Amino acid sequence: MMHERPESETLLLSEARIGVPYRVVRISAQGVIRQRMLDMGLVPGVRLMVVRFAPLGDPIEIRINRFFMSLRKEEAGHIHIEPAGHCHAHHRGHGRFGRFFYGR
Amino acid sequence: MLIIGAMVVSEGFFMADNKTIFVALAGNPNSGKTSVFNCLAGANQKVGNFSGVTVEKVEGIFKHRGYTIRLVDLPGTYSLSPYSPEEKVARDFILFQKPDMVINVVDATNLERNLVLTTQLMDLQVELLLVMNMYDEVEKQKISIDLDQFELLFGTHVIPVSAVTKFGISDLLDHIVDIKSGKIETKKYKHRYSQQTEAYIEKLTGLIEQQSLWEHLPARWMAIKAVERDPDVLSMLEPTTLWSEINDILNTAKEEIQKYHQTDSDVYLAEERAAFIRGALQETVHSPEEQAETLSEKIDNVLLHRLLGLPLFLLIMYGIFQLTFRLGEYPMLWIDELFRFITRSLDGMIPDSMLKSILLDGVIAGVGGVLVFLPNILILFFCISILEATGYMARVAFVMDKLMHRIGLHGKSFIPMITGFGCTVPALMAARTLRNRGDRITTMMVTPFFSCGAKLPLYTVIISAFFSPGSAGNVLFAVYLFGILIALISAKLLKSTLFKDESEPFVMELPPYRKPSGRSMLNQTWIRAMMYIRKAGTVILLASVIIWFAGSFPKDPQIYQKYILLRQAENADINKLERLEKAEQLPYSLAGRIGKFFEPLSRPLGFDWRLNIALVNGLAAKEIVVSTMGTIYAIGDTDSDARSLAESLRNDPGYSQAVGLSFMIFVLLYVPCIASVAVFSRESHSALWTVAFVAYTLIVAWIASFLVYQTAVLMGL
Repeated sequence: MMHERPESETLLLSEARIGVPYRVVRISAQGVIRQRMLDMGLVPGVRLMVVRFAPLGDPIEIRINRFFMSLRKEEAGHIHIEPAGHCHAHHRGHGRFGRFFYGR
Repeated sequence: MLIIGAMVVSEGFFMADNKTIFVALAGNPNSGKTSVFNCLAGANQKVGNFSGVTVEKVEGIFKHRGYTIRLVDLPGTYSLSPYSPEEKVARDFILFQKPDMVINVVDATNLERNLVLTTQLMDLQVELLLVMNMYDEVEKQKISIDLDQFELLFGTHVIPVSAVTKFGISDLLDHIVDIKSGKIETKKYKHRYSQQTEAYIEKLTGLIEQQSLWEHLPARWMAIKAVERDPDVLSMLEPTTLWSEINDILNTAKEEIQKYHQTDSDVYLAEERAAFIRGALQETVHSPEEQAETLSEKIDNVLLHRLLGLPLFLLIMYGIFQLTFRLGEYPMLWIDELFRFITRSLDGMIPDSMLKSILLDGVIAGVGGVLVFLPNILILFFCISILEATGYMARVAFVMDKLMHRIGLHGKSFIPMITGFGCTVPALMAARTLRNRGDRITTMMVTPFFSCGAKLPLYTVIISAFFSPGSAGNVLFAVYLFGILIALISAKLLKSTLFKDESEPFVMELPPYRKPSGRSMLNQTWIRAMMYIRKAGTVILLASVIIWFAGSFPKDPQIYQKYILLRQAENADINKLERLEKAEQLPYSLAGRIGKFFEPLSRPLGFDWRLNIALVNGLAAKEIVVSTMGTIYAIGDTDSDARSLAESLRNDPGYSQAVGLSFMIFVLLYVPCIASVAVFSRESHSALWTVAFVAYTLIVAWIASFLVYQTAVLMGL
């Protein structure tokens, strides 16, 4: 169903570098913050990039698709990511979401 | 779920008939939902609150092709989860008010995120009409959207519009009517989840339908929410007879999702929705390969620049501050002049009587005292609505959040706080931009400690009475700084005790910059102004009359007689006699008695009964502190008299530098004015918090003045 990822490859969004593409692996936040993240499209599988840090160093601005959002480092510490490389966007039938598209 | 009950009762009276269409407008913040609402409803709007909660509700009623359309603008939300008041209101409104249809406004340039809400609305099984706003932008960016395919995938009608160019609006109106009249068929489309998930949902739906307890709630929606472990829905299902069966399915679902996908069920369903949206967009949307940096990104490169970001923000704040209080000064003067003129003309027209005194010194002075703030409020709110409408407000929060987060607040709290230096009343109203109640109340509680402009004349008098011209600037600066310090400590205190768990997550959109629509901003500013005049005006009116009474009655008959005789004397200076009489009568009046009554309490701070009267009257407005002291010392209220007031204070053996310092600190910290209390009550919707506001400022003022006075006395000041 899903390919296993070794934990060692993942890092936290709070540790991400500016301008490097990443993919979300897991959300470990709870409660309101978790819900807000899911609602804003921060779900496993989505690609994102850190755009900048605020002038005082925190919060951070990230880009998901064509949309910009900000979150504090402490909140970003609950988002587990992995490097995504500059490759192709999400192909149909590729990765963990493939089966949904085949189903339609 | 109590809120729901209240809403059903209070809104259920609206009669549905065949010629009335009841429409709810839903959409993400920044989707242009309000602009679409304005296009549809025009000027036929009324503002209120959703009952039971402090979420603003805007409603428009208008006609189209013989139908009456009642349009309710739901709060802008990213989803229909029950975690924020706005989301709960939107969801409950759709579930319990049962609008004929829900119009979902989506930003066509940012579909991937906007459609999350759409899939949740599909789960609710409502008559859904999708409005793709900002379609002109789509065309400009050379993005092509296959609308026919889109309609097929989402099972709704899709109408491209642009609220800016008014493109598509009449089409939208026609659609609303055509769906109601049955001319256009729609099918309530289910958003289908994966096979495995659908299996759980179907089983649960069957069980929930058997109960027939919630005929008004869609069973499928309840099933989906149960899988997501939505606390509201679970608490509805728990007391039922079939709960053990339902719970078994839910536990299996949870275990299996955990086993196969290593994630929780709510995340998993969110992933499924995201996957559906991604798939749908791949089929229907084609954007040009390379996307150039947008104008918004270019602006942010400057405004959010690592080094320039903060100074630029402070510059913008400085500009707004100057505009509000410098530009506001002129209309304030005119209003002041107008009321002086009214007083003067009435003075000549009405014969001397008690009624005249109430009218002139009580009512007209009171109304004038309220209206004089209006220019400040109008300008500040116009500026704030520009910040909001352009999208800069989110950047303010981004830039200031680190500092504000240290005291437990949100970056946006900075604006109401800094506004407090001008006037507490608009500052309290500016706290509206904070969505989280804990943040809003905390910000409002500490706002008065940012010394407002009306306190400055008092500082000037005291400083010139007790301090050398050389140290005046330093003393004034120290007083302001002391207020800021108390505000920061208080905020930290409140956020780490009462509002410990109520922090607004900073997961926040930085929307693209937009050109604000002048009409809607003027409209918003006007609505705020009217709210202020109506609500605060009545309370202040009453308070001013009460204060007038307290200062004037009862009178000592002997003094009264004495002055009647004095006035009859030849070449008597009537004005001067009146001032002297007032001063002499004051100890016998209610205000004087109150001042004496509080003397035991104020002695440790160094205040005698006369200063107490000034403080009591200062509850009406801080400008009154100086004018009351003028009355006490039988001095008129012109500029040159301010100097003589300082002299009288200096020469009074009861006063010293220590008393002066202590008095300034008390004025700095205690209840700012009746207007602020009225506005606090309005904005907090809580009698308890309003009482806390008054009590807290008084207690803090007392403790701080006590410490300052005792220390100063020890130091020999």
